[in-house]
Amino acid sequence: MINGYWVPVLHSHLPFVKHPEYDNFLEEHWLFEAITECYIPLLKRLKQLEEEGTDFRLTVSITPPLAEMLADSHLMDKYAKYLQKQIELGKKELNRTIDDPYFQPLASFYKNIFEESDEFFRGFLNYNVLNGYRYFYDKGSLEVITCGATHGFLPLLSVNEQAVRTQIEIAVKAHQKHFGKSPRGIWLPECAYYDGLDKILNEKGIKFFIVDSHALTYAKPTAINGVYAPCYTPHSVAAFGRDAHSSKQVWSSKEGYPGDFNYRDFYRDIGYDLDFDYIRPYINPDGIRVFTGFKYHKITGTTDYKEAYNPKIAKEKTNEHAKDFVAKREEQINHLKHMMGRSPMVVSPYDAELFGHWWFEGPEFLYNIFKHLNDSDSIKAITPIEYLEMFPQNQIVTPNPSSWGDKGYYDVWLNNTNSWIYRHLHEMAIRMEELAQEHFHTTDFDTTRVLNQMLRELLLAQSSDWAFLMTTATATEYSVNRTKEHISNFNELLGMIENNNIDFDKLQYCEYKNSIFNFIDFRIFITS
Amino acid sequence: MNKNAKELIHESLEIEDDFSSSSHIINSIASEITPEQNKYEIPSRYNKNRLVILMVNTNRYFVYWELDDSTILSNNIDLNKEKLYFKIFDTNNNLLTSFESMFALGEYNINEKFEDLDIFVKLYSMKDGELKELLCSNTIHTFSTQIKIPDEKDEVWLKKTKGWTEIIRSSMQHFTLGMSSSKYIEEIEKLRSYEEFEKDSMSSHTIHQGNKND
Repeated sequence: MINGYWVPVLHSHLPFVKHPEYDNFLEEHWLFEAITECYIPLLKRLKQLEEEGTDFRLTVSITPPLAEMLADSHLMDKYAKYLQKQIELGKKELNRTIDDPYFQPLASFYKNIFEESDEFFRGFLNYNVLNGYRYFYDKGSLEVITCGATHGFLPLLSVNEQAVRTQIEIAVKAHQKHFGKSPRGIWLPECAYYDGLDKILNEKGIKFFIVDSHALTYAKPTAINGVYAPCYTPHSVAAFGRDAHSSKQVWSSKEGYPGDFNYRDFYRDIGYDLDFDYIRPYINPDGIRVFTGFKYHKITGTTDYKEAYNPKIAKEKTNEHAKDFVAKREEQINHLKHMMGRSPMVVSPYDAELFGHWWFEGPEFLYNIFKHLNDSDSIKAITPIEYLEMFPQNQIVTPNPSSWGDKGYYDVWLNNTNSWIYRHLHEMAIRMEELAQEHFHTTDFDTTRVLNQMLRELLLAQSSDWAFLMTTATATEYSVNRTKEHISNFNELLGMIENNNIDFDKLQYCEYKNSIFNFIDFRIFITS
Repeated sequence: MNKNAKELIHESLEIEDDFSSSSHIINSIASEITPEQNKYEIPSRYNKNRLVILMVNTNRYFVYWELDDSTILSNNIDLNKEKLYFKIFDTNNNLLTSFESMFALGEYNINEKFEDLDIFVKLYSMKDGELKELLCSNTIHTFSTQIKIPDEKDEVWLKKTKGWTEIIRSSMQHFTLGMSSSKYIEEIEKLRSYEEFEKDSMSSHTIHQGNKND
């Protein structure tokens, strides 16, 4: 008898990064690494499950910027070249390690991974990673949901309601563009909720969203089933709360599965370890060492001493950990069922890029979870929509403002490292609204182009990634620069409108570089 | 209400303080990048009147402001000698806190706890010993940090299917609505009024209990 349900959710997101002015731009590799290490391995495992007749259900957010990049021919051409370069490095590594009994099999292992990725990309995916998601979405085993248009931190944009409306409206349109249907769910950027957001979500046809646990436990009134049943908001959108227990098992750097000593070490990489002249063609053209993806060591222990990685043993560990994860969910769900008097659900949201990038064996772990769940007679994986269809009656609460960031509120995106951006974002939104009203009926092609690009620049400036990276100080310069770039572009374009003097070279460059959302219409800013 | 509600809520919160998911993967991906030269100029000010309050966490609120030149001139404000006064109110006009500044453009962190309130800021200048209101900010609804287990009247359930939407209260009979689910907030208000009426007219024992859990 099924006692309850597991609702796995993967949030797939990268900020829009496109630098056509360079043949090889380091930040574009964020996408290439994520495709190779996360998205393709996940889709390959899902295909394998399907071919083996294993039923699975998974909810995946594909954010609009990620979808736009995955559908961008310029970036995908670069990705195809990136893969060839990786295969080339694999072949070189085979020769270099020919006399090394530990590293030679690993060189072969990586060469095979890149060759298989290339084959999967050209074959099943037909040069478009989104095809893989569409395939399972259409079959119903995958629920693809959307996010904010550019992952804007909505509570801090809500000073101008149209800014939030536009983030959601364009997200819905982008989803329709890439997946041919309207999204039923949304991953709120950073799970950030504020009072009143549900009204906009409801108007845009969104049926559910994910929040952190304290959005429901501190809701008005408190959700009496905690996070183990969804709640409806006052505007009848379902809020699903994150279960911290299952998150912690995977996320925690101390106690989580990814820290097992047999798993691959993330930091040791031949990009840093090998002779500079040898590795130079495969690192940044400026000569800056970067990760290549060829990592030959396992975590081994807590010191710098590292032993050779053994993929076979690591693979066995994923099965062991998946079995443990499913057993713990069974135990948790059986306990909850006893207390709730209805079938509980456990929502486990993770960053999709955790599985494969940070935790190399993560996709195999997920595969094994679905294999074990298939054998379980007490729990089953489902999507939020499936749960709502089975259990349409849920408590109404007003969720508490919250996020899934450190400390659970908005600190990460508003502190002394990044507070300066909001003054600009708010002013840009006001100007956008004024201009959209003023030029709503314009038929002038070039004015429309400028206004459309202004909206793109505003949306790109709103991306929560820049504020996040300023806080963590890992990519401060790039994040500050990207934010300033979009603010600067916006104001230059504004000057063109105000002075009725369009700099076509500048406009064309902005359109080419910051080319997100080819369907954009500046009027959305007031009609949304 | 479910008799195990307190335990379920406790389990939902159990490890909240010990764990967060703030270490996004973008952090590890982006850590490879190199510093760039700052190439872009952005406005240092907009010369517009602006007063905004934003929520940070349960104990902190962020305020930024700008007074334009004409406002400063028309109000004869000399910021070399005078201050600007900021007062934070709730929507019942209770004064919660205040601060001062001598800058026409600035920002300030309010480190106080305002539990579950609608609040806003007003900016004043002082003329002849009296405050003159210059700007009023947006209103925000602050965070809550309290568990509020519902009593019978506050425990409302919604049954939402493809064909209809139904509101169920623990304390009374069901109401079935049409397809337009967004209307149900009004209905909740009606239900509250109805319940008040019922309280006056019948014993609570006669009110039908909704079946909440399936």
